[in-house]
Amino acid sequence: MWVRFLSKGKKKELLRVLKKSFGIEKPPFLFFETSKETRIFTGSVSKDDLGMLVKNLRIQSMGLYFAKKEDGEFRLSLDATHLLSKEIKKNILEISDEQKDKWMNGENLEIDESLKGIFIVKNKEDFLSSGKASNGKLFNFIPKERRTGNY
Amino acid sequence: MITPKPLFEERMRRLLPEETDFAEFSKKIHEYPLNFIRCNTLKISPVQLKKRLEEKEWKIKQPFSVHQEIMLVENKLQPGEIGKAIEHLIGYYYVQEVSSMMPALALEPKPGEFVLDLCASPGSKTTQIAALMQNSGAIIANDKAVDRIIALCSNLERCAVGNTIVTKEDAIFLCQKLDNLGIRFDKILVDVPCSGEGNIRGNPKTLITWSLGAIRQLSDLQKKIAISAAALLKKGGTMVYSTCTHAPEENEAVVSFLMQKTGLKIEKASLPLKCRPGIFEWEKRGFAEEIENTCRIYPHDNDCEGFFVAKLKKE
Ligand SMILES: C[S@@+](CC[C@H](N)C(=O)[O-])C[C@H]1O[C@@H](n2cnc3c(N)ncnc32)[C@H](O)[C@@H]1O
Repeated sequence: MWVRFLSKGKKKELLRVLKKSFGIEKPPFLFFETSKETRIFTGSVSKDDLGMLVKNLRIQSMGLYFAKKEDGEFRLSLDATHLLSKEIKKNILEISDEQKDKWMNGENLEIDESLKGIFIVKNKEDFLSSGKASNGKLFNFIPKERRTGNY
Repeated sequence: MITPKPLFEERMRRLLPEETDFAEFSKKIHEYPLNFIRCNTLKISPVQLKKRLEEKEWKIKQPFSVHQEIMLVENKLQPGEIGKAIEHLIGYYYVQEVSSMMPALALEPKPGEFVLDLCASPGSKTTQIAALMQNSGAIIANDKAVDRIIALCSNLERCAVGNTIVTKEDAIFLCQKLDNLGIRFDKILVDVPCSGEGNIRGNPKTLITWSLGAIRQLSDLQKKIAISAAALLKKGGTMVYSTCTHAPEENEAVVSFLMQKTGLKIEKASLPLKCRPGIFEWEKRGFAEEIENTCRIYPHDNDCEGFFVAKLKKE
């Protein structure tokens, strides 16, 4: 697995966007990138030790999928929204039960045209990943294996 | 109903010599297993999960007061309902048979520790260990089967496990590699591939594929895996060896061999299910006296699947 720990500059930028977009203050994770996404390691192992393991073992995966970067914004994963549920303060889009059924089925939602950018989706107490609002639609990124229709 | 092979029955009769005991076992293995789930405390508390599931009119029982995360869904559900529920899809619970939860409880992983889960897919116990560690410390979770590693990774993501490194290696080879790197662990789980005699309720086909030849081969592999793992334990560290089978060749014989070769000592695990002591002798081979402190979990004792759990300490 190809892994690159975020440089100081990149980490600073990520933390700045997380704070600005969602009000998240300094999440205590080790951030790194793979070819596909930004991931986190929540454990208490140093970067050097992790680096040594990555170099020497046939690693299939490490830590948790956290976010994908899109147009300078970070689209948080379903599970990242759960880990950070207490920290997320801004840009939360509350959806109805009916919308939740569509959303968890992988469908895009019709939303107010004025909404733009990445929103964290929430139904009652459940955080349900994030979506991208554009032109009256909230685009859905729930992975196939997590959708109700596909299980 | 699949009829067990005569040799399987004969061996089980030797393990359960009392006629009524054996009869109860034989009856129980043909009953469909109960629906146990484990609350994923990395995402939700047992109190909140229970409330939500009860709102859906699921009848939830928490059989063990000190392990509120272990829940039994008592009402009859539609086929697949437990896996299709939104609470499952978003990772609020993991579907796991209660006896399969025992090895991680015996291991007692603590936040901040360094843990090796050597045969980890599909991750029932890795996700449980990560929750007990509150996503801190680190776990190396290994398996050698590609398709099963895919399931492991997807279960880790669903449960928001962030402290785990997944490797794909033969267990023995990985242990050698880790040993060469001088890496040592606080806790090691060795949940080996086994003949699955304990899983008949969930997987009745085991009765068809069952063979003594396979048990003997597995026993050899299990010994090699267990010995390799033991070398990686820190002083004072704990290793749990577990199988979902009753065959003594895969249980007491492996643990006895391990004790002889490594000097690891057995410690009695405190588990919430009824355990019967490990046996002292099988086919004229005697085992160490301390073997009685290992735990044999029988389906008819607990209305569960069968398991074997041994907790070992490096002094
Ligand atoms: C009993 S299952 C493990 C179940 C798992 N611990 C859980 O709780 O979900 C045994 C696993 O060992 C793996 N395995 C078999 N031989 C192996 C070997 N030589 N090295 C590593 N893993 C092996 C199998 O692919 C299988 O996933």
